[in-house]
Amino acid sequence: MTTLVELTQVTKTYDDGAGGRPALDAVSLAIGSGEFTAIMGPSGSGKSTLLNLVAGLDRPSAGRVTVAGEDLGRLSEARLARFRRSEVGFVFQFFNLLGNLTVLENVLLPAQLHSGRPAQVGARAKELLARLDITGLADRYPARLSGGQQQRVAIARALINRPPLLLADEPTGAVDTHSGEQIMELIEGLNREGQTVLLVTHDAKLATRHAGRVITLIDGRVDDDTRFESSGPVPESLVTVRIPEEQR
Amino acid sequence: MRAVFAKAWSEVRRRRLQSAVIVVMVTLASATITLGLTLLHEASSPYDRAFQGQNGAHLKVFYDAGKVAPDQLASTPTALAASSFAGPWPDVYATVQHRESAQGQPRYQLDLVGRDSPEAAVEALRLTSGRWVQAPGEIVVNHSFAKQNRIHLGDRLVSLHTAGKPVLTVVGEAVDIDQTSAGGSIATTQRAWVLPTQVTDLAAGSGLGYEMAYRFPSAPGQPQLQGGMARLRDSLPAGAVSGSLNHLAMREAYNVTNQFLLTLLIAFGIIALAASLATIVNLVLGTVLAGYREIGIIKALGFTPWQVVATLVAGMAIPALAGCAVGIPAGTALSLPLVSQVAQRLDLPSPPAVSPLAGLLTLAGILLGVVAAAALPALRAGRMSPVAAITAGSAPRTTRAWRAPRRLRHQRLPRPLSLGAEDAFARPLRSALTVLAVMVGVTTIVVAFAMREAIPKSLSTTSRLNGDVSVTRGNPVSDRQAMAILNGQPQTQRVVAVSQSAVTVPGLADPVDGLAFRDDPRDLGWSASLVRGRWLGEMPGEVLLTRRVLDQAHLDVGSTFDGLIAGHRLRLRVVGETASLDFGALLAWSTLTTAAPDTQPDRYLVQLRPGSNADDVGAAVQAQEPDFLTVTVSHVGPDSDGDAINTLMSVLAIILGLIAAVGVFSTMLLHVRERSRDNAIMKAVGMSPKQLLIMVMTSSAVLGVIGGLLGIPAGVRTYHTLVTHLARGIGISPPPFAFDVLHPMTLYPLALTGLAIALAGALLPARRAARNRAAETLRSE
Repeated sequence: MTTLVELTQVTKTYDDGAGGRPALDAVSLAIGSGEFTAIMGPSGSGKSTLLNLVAGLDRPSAGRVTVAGEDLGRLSEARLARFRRSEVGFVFQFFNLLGNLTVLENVLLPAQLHSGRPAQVGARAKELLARLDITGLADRYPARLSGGQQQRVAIARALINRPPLLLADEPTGAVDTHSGEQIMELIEGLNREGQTVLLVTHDAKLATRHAGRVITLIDGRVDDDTRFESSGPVPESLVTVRIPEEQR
Repeated sequence: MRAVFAKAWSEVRRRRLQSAVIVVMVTLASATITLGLTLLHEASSPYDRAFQGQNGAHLKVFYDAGKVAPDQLASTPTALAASSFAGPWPDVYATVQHRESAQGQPRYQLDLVGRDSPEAAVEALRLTSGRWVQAPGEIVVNHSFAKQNRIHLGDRLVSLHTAGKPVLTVVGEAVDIDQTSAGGSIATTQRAWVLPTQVTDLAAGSGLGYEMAYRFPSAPGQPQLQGGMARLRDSLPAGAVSGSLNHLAMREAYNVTNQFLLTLLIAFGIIALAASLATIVNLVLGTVLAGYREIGIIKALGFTPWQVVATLVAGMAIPALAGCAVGIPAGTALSLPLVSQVAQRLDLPSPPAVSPLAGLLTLAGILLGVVAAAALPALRAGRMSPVAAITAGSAPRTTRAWRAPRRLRHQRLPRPLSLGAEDAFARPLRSALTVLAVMVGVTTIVVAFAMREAIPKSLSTTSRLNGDVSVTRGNPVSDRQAMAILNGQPQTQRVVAVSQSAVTVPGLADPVDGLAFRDDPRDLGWSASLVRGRWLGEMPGEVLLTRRVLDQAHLDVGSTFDGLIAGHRLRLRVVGETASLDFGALLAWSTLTTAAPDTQPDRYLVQLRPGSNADDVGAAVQAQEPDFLTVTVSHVGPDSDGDAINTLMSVLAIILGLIAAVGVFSTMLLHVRERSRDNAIMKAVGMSPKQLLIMVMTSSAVLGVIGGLLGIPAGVRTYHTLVTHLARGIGISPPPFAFDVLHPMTLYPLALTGLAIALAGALLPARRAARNRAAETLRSE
């Protein structure tokens, strides 16, 4: 199995003038293609920061972030934008759908930015809507949808360009329990089909039930990295987590 | 109150860019309005002061010495019900040549008035240099005439048409408050003063007249003047009154240019204020929408609804006050050169630098406008409950789903373009206000452009009215001899002979200056002055009248009336309206000769063949009769008044264009700030900075195009209204050529200025949006 995501001594400090602890502190880890990895930790542990760095939404203060062979630190803003279109799909906790676009238009947006051929893109969108059981909502606006429905739309939007990597930041945080379960089953289903998933959650039960690997962050550092047995064969060539000397 | 002020001040400091926008806009608007109001108050002030100081005449009447004797004029004050009078002073027209001039030996037409002293109960004269005449052969000239033509004390003026060509030596300069500038108009005559006995000698038995000046207990209006003149004519032999001039006409003529400037300034000051207030409404709306949570918190802490409103209003009023603090002094400073120019014509010191009233009115008007503009949207925030406000401010904000037109949504445009175009209509009220700001800018640019085109065109048309060369004939050269000389020049294409004659129109206190044409002058440009109706025909009795004469006499094209020409009553018919600046009536020669059969033309307007040198022709004509023909060559020279208007229009266009761009800038900044979350989401799903820039610029461009398209007809209508108002202010209707300057080929490029304003205003906010980090925005959300 190939390494899809690699963080090497990544540190991220926010310039809030307080001179406090870094959000991420010399973190190194690797995620293989096809893995379902959950990032856990208390509030302020750096989970969302790590996800943002992997998505190319932010840049590390030190270290290197490599995704699909691209060193994100070397990319310009324009190339990062193209990277985000084609290599990652991002699902946010609060959905972050665009309120003035319909469901279908929200789903199509990344593909349209990617200048995809309309016929192909349209077919892909319809396929995703059907897969996520939201075909009937295509012409509705997000304000008229429930939380669960909005999150399904967000997942469809994230997958429109068939990105190798799906990132999800607390995807069940803003929905009810039943919807949350459905969403996690959806994501797990995608992973079974080969989608690499990196998911942030504070819910340990959810993480252990669905993810094959759980990385725990505390105070910006990797505190634990555990793989769980799954029904499928465990990949052999995974790179293990490198924990800094002083933390061992 | 302290809490309100503290909160408001903190908002001003926190939203520095927004506050700066308000300061800039209010500065521009307040400067423009103050300039206009100062001019309104101060421009006529020097004239009014001079009028009072010199016991200016409410009415001057000119009498024909051949029809009335001086002792018969003693009863005229009673007939007019005047409270005081001066005169009769003898006067005669003379053509003089300036011997010491550095520009050849130019000639001038002077109205020589005989006065023993500059002092008088009415129409006192103020000496600015030298002394009054004490002996024959001395002359005092008009101050502005001397300045313009570089005539100095000790220079000699030779009366060319008097036997012996007497020399008059300039011994003094005086200010006469009804003086006119020594321009190139064929109606211009300058006044000068000699001893009474000198006038009689210069007249040599012909052309002698008398002048009397009258004042009334209070400044009379037109009806009183008309009534008085009617009684006066009835009390004297027929034809005794050859002309009159009242204080209303004198004052108006004096202030013509300033009326132009004033109208422009007031009009555009109001437009600038309206555009500024529209932007302020936008800003307050945006502040309220962005600050719901904070408003809820301060309400929970104890701010009453009115205190919330006061905080928001004060947050706008503080920078507006700062803008006034800069703009009002700036407007006053800008008015100084204009007001000084008016005073200088009367050789008066400039009026006081500051017009407190103008500044106070501007301040009051702007603050009132700002408070009203801010209060209305602020009331919405004030009425919300604290919980509702906090909830509205805390929940993830979703833009209200504005359904863009179906056709727009399904256009196969690149997605950033279509998103930007849809976004332009997301907030209808804000979009409307932005379009209004752009429209204001484009309207001003259209008007400024039209003015810049019209003024030179007007100048060029006016200068052609006198022909390429104009020649005044003096006795003993006959009309036949003058025509032979002129037609004998190989460059002469045609000659139009004219004669001036006063026309008395019922209902008007003063006779109207009339001009009769012996030949068809239309090729000289006179047809351009025809506003309505048709040109004069061959039949006697046809006249063209100006707007003022038509209005005051309650006449219209097609009306007939009994007029008086050269003392003879004639049935006259108005066949058209003219926009002539110098003459209230234009007549055919047949009409004049019906009243005065022996009339001969005294002036000739010569049109030369293309390519001719007018100076050479003028010199050749002058050489044939150096003493009795006065030749004036037409030159389209610089026009300082026209330049002043052009400069002002350009400045106003820049100011209002800036206001429009700043308005768009502030709106787009607000828009980008409100949509920062959506923009971050779009960046997160793969929109590049360039695509985001294009999206924001497109949103503004759509509004700019709409504003531009609306601004064109608004600008055309505003220009028409302005030109009509300006023309009516000087007693004419605008001539057709004034409206010919705007046509589709010029308007299409002007429409693009709306787009330019919108793009200029949106550039910085768009770049800010493109540079904002998505992660920071989403993290802070």
